[in-house]
Amino acid sequence: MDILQRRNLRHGALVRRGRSASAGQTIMEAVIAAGIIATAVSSALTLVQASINGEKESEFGIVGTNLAREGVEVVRTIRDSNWLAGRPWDDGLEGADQDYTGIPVFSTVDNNWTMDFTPNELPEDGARVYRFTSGDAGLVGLNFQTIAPPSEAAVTNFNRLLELDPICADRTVKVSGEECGAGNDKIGIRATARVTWYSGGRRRTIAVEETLFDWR
Amino acid sequence: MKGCVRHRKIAASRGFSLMELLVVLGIFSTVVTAATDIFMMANRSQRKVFALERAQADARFTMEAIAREVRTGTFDYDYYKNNGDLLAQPGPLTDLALRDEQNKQVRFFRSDTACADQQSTPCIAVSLDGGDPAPLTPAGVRILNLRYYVSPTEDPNAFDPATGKFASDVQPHVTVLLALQTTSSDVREQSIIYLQTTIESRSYRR
Repeated sequence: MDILQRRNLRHGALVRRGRSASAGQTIMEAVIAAGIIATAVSSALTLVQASINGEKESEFGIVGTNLAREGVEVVRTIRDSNWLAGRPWDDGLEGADQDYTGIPVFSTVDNNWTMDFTPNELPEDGARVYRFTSGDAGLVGLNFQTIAPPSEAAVTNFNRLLELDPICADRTVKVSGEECGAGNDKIGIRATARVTWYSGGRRRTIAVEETLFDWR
Repeated sequence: MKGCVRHRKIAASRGFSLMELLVVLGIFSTVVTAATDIFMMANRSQRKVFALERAQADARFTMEAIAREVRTGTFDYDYYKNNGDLLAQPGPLTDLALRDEQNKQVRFFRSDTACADQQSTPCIAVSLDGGDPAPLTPAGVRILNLRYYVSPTEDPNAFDPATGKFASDVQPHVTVLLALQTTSSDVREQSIIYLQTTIESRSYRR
């Protein structure tokens, strides 16, 4: 190999190295770069979306807590009104055949509450909470429960069920289908209001419990 | 040979072609626009989250303030009687009149004049013993809906000697419906929260 041939070879290698250094990205490099950018952007967006979802979740929690608290207050109101009217203290707080699960029903006529013991399970349709969306302007926005919803109401994201389990004199608590029995008086009610809703594809439930006694 | 080397040097050091420049500018502006969009969206979302937090905190505070007074007080039936017999009218109220344990009047009502600022109007105002109303809902939120469903409409402690009966046998209670909206010039950043609960007076006089 003479000097000229060697020089040409060296020159060729230089040109190849130069081309390689100044060449554009390969498709693989571009895909990886695009992937990294997409991951970074989607992470940021996911974080923001998670933050918004968390706040919405928190809102559902606050609304659900107030609905549950309302359920317990309804039981207390019925017991106290029974005292005032001279009725048995637990009148209207127990369904037929030892049925202790039901929904509070609001009367739009006199703003009073009663219990309907038809529903037995929290997820069932009978335990749904509705909201007036049209009709009487004084009722629009009001949440309520009923077995037969009127046409001017829309179903909300919430279900609510009350469990009014009797507390017996021997300090035992009975559930639906059981009773305190003879010589073992019912002295109180363990009122549990459960509210459930769907959020982010998952069912969330909150429960508020209070024990109410016949102390008068 | 010398000319060839000079040509290569010129080729290596020349600027971008118009096409290259246009492509680069196009890509750059697309990336910048996308980045700005994402940043603004994240920013708006963050403000939306703050607004949600704000609405929730203020709604909880307002509801708790009302609930506490209802629990510890009694309903001011005389106030309703002397103001057009409001409880006898059909429909809910926007004015909740109570008597606290010292028999002083406490009113929670919808107001257009006692609010923190124009943007936060209407608001819920509280008036103690007939004094000047003060805003209960702070600046930054306004009332969309406030309703009180009071029961009974007659004072259960009022005894009628003629009939020998009390006016009602229902323990006083109220169902409160509250909708709060955060104030913001951008509609997309506004948040609304709807709350409802029922509270019973713990006053057992009979």
